Amino acid sequence: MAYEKVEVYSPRSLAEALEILSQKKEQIKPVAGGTDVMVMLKDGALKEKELLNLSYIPELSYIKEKENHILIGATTKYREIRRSPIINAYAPILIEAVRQIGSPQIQNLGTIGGNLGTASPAGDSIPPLYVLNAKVKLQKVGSAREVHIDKFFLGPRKTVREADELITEISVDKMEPGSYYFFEKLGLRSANAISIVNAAGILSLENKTIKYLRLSLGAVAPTVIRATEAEEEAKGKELTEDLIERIAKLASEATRPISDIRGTAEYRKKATYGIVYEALYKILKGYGKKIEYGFEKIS
Amino acid sequence: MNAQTAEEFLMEIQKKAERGELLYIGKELRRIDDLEKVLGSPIYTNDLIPRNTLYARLVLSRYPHAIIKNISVSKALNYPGVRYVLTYKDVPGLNESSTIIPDRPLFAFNKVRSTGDIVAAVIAEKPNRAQEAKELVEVEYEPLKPVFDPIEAMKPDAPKIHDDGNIVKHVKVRKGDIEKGFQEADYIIENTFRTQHQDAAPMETETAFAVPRGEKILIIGSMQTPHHVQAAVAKVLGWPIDRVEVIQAVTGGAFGPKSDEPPYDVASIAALGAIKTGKPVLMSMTREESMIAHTKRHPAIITHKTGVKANGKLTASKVQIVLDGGAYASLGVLVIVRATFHANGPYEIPNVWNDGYKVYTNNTYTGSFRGFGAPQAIFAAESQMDEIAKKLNMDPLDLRLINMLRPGSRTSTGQLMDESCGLPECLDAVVKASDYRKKKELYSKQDGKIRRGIGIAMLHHGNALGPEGNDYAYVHLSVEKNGKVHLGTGLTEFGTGAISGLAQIAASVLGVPIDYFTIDRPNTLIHHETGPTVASRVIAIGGNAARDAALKLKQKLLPVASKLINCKVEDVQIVDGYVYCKGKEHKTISWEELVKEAYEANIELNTLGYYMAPSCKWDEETGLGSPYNQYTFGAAIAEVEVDTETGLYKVLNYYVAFDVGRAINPKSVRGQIYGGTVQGLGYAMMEELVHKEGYVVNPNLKDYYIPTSLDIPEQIQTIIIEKQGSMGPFGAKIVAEPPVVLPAPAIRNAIMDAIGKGINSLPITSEKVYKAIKS
Repeated sequence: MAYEKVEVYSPRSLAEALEILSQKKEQIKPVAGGTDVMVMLKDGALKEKELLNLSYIPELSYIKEKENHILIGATTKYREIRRSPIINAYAPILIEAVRQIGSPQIQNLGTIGGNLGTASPAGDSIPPLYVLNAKVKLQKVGSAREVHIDKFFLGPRKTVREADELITEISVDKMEPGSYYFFEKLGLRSANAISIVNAAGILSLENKTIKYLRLSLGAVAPTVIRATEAEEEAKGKELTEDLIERIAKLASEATRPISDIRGTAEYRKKATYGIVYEALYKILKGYGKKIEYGFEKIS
Repeated sequence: MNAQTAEEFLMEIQKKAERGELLYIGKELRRIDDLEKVLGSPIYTNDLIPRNTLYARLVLSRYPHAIIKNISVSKALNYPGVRYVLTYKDVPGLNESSTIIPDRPLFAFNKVRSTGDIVAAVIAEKPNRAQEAKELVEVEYEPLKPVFDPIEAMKPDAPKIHDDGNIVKHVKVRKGDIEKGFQEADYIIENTFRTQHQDAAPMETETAFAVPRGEKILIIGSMQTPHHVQAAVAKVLGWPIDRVEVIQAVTGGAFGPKSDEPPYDVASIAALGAIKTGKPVLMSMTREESMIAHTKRHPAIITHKTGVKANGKLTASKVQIVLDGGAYASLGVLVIVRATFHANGPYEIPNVWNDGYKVYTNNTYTGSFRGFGAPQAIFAAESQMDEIAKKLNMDPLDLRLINMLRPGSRTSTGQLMDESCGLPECLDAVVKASDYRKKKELYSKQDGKIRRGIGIAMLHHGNALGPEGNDYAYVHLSVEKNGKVHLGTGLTEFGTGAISGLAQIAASVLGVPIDYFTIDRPNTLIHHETGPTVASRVIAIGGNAARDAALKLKQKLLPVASKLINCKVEDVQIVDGYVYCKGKEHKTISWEELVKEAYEANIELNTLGYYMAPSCKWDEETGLGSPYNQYTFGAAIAEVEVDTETGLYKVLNYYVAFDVGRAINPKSVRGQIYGGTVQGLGYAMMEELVHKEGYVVNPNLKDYYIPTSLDIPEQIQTIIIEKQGSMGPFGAKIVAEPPVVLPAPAIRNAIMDAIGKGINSLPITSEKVYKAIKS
């Protein structure tokens, strides 16, 4: 029933939060920015009767470098990611995606850990995490584990998180200097729209030859997917219009979409071809975005 | 005394207006009500609610079509915080909440006909209590076979939604000899067009606040026409109307549904709740309630059969319009009239045969919405023009130049266009502004995956009510001793700026700055019943009443001034708040001094202006005649860029010209054009309230998409053309509605130019574009 009374726990430390979670398990719903959970609450779609509010745990919100990785606290807000010099320097593909999430109001509240927890196949921050080889840290009282993003999602709104575990950190690889990247999204309007298809990619070129392509697709399967066959096809070849066509075709074939009010399965499959083609074509023609960092640049 | 007669004075004012000498006409003044809105001051109904208020929530039907076997409210009544549960049993008067045809009960009693039907309303101490208790109202239904497709619903064996058949209104136009027209044609082109449910999505949902006051009830709410709400509530309560006082609160967007039946529902429910509990009751629809239970734009299925000669001259046009009316008639019985009269577009066609049907289905009901049937009709008519042009291998602009209405041509109903027909000027303006010919040529040579296209749409729009009712208005002016002028009227402001326009007109006639004016809140106890605030008619009709009131006031003041400054009456000048004798500009007195003198001379500075439009004559059977006193004309050109691999497209530029007769406030006119364009862009590109088996799938703003600022073209160039009409003050025509009409056909035609194929259903999503490209 909508509006039913919900009890909210607001721990002040991670230890306290994990303790509560260890007792309540599936009875309690962790919530950070609330941009998904509050809508579920209002729609009567929330089955839990208690909320674990993570907004007052400063130790869960940070962005820092560690060797070749960037560590992002789970309750780091999209706005903070957009403004982070570290992410700007080493993982701008994430910014490219995050700036297209919802509206400024949603970016002011929504968190990256929340996007993972909600586990929508259309979540816009997720495809970049796939191509950044993200690892999700899950913690519970007394232990922690890291799950590769490939293994984290089980299906729409389903993840490997156990009821007593909390998503606490996401670690991503720094992008290689000189590599190209893109995040493309197709929605029913230009902003604040749920993706019909989205795609994230990192392309590393040596002269004109592809060292590697990492390509992930969202909203076209029960979880975000890596287009591995398309990636294989690209490896070691010269970037040409013909190759782009083959890559886009393989990407499209990798999808297993459904139909909903935003678009049919058939269109999602075909549009995947279109957005992958265009993203790579832009790079071929010299309009692609390229990461060019060095230590002097961010000092 | 040598006072001018009113007629002489009027002529003088008209002449001044023509010479551009009137001080405030044509000036971009600030609107009187803008500051408090920009500051976010607490002005809306929900801001006024005291602590002891109770809150109402609606129990809507669970089925699109069903018999109600039983309603039990006892569980809900026992829920904590619940004070009352209203059902049909609590209606002391008539259980009816209808505008024209009495087919819609306030509370469903024997059956439900759509999922928007209201079965009960829970009144509780807190909104969440009411929301929770809703689930405890037990309604026993026996589902009936529903019908959702209006074409199916028209068949004789379709499930009956009301006692009679499902065709609630049939409108005809029969001009010339249609068969002869088709025989004369070299080509006959046939197409079917479909449009969708659009939601008005006003920022403020339908809201009413009722306060019991002994034998009376006070209702404050969000609405377009307080006097209609007053009559509707009195009918439900079984009270004489003078016991119901209705005040229109500052209204956060309306767009038509707030002139239809939804404001009756919220006002009646708040009033009944307040009477039953003795407490103030707020009935403010949630967004979900609003999007399910209020009226939307009718989906339409429109078929065109057009005969055309090889040289482009149209010989015959046969159009059938079927509107999905949903479960109730609402103002939709008038929507189909406007749609049918405008169905052939702004063209001279000798032989016309139109049939318009408003049909009952078990979808949620549809009714009044900005454009009032024109968006559907013109989308189809203007798309058809480009299909004809394609068939003839002719530029769509040339086809339009051959057939469009000009001074001296006749409309589909045979109405003669006089000199005020500014359609050629509108078309010419947008063609020039957009550099149409050059771009058309350029875009025809494109290849590659990104393609651009350019498309035209035009319209004529019959002004004000015409066949929709008696077109009259009252405006009341009174001057306080300190010189301040009160303007009062039952016409309402809901975001258009039109009421400020009334003050601007009165100020011009009186010769005092607009800062002297305050606008009184519309109140049924104080203001005359003055017809509905609909059909964009405030300036065209109300403006005449404002001018009349101001003239009457001036007639009273001129003799006083004459005496005071020792000047012949005809030489008295009142300019910008100063009074002087012609030729003696150095010796002035102030407006305040003049008013003070009038008070001392015991002259009542209180006038009631009235205007009634000439009655419109047309034949019910053939539609022939002059259904409207004057027309607004418009033309638009859209430029799009289409990605042929995804179907995604952008509107790059939009050029739009409207012949508004005379722009009383050009800034407000442009504001209406911008706003209408954006709402029309949503209609064209993305908005669709999806019904599945009678249930609304996306009744919220997270799944129902309206445009954001990023969807708006970089350039919307507005051009104002002024070909004065015969009816409105100083030649003004209406402007608020037509801008919403043009984006859909202009964008559709631009996409057709880009990809070579036309998309005949709205909204034009990237998926439809993609499918058209690949088909």
